[in-house]
Amino acid sequence: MPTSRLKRRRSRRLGGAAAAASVLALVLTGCVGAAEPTPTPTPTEAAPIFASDEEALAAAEQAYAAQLVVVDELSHAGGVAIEKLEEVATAEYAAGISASLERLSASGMRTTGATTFDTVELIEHFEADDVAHVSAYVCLDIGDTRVVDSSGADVTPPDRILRAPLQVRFESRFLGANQLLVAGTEPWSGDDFC
Amino acid sequence: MLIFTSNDPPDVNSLDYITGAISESAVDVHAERRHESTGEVPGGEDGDNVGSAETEPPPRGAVDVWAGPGWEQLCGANFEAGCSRPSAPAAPATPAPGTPAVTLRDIASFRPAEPSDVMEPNGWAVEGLPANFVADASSEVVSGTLLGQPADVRFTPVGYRWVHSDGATVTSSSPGATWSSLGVAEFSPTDTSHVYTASGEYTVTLRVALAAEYRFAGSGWLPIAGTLTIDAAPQRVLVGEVDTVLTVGDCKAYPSSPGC
Repeated sequence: MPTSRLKRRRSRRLGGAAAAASVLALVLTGCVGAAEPTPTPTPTEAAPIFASDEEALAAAEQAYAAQLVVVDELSHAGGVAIEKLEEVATAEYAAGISASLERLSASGMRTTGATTFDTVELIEHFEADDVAHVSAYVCLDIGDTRVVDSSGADVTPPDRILRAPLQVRFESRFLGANQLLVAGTEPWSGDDFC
Repeated sequence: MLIFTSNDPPDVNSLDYITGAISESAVDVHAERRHESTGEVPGGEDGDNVGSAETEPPPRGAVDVWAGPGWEQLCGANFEAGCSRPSAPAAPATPAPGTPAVTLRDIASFRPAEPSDVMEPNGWAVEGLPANFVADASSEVVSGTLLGQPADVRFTPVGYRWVHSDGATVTSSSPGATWSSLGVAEFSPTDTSHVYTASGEYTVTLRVALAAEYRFAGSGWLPIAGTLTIDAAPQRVLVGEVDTVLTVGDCKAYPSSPGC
């Protein structure tokens, strides 16, 4: 992990006062150089992003709820706001949602009602390069939602899947952050646990 | 519509479910396409971070969700004896290259006719004596659209099971035959007969196991792995006891005669 340690130090130094920076930097470099043979790990480096499965699951639930709220808000209003989506989903996944939103508003339709979920179960969580990856089974429930056209008429398709078993992937929003973004969602093709 | 790439598992979002962009049929096609593109069982492509066996979906066929009444996956659920098809080896199930692999799930819209059954005596039985049951189900070809192409599906009965409400089941690989066609006396035991030990009212339900094959225009019949069952309408059976009495004549003609 030496690379990440260096990165963090450098960014901290950048935040320092400009005038004293160069002098301090020289001193610091000297200090660091001397201290290098016996590095003492700082407590933040020893602690993982999620100390337990429960913490990872709680963060995933929070992130998924936040993502559903934003998608509901946007699809109720009938607009697309990629910057709002990117607060709750990775850029890649947000692009997919935004494409779905565009299709919806292009056809003059919007949605009503809240999307909910339950039966959340942790699949796994791990960390790589200071990014936490969490995946969980989620039961998506769209039973309270409807699709309406511009005149307000209910045009909800009859053959919708009201409760869908999904596998949802999450990633840290920032390096080392325990706040998660939705990174991907796949329909679960195995046993229906919903 | 869904867009597929062969490497990335396709991502979906809640809106796709709300708008019906993913519906019952769309998900089926989707799962199947993934299956073909990787040449693996679904779930195997999730490899890079999820690799353990417990996160993989069970193999296709072991668990299946059949929509509609009377349908279910047969193998493993019931019919332990009639599960495998009598003479069809497993290997030829591989379709020709370029032909999509077809599963029972894909042919869910092809409905075979409901089987029927007759019993002797008709609708009643005598306590302690065999009642004979005969199924009426035959091979049939149903036409429709399979994976977007016109196709035929042929259903062939391969197993029969009568589920009696007294708890007994009679399983046979043949549909049974009437006493007269077997050349035996009435109330003789047959392969498909059943003896009710107490009088009362019972129901009997015939379940027929069907093997399915499909063909596209110009191709030969290709088997589909597994079998499915279809239930006939339950039939009522009235079981009574019989006593032998001596009378002057027919009890209808002599209703006041002793014994009547």
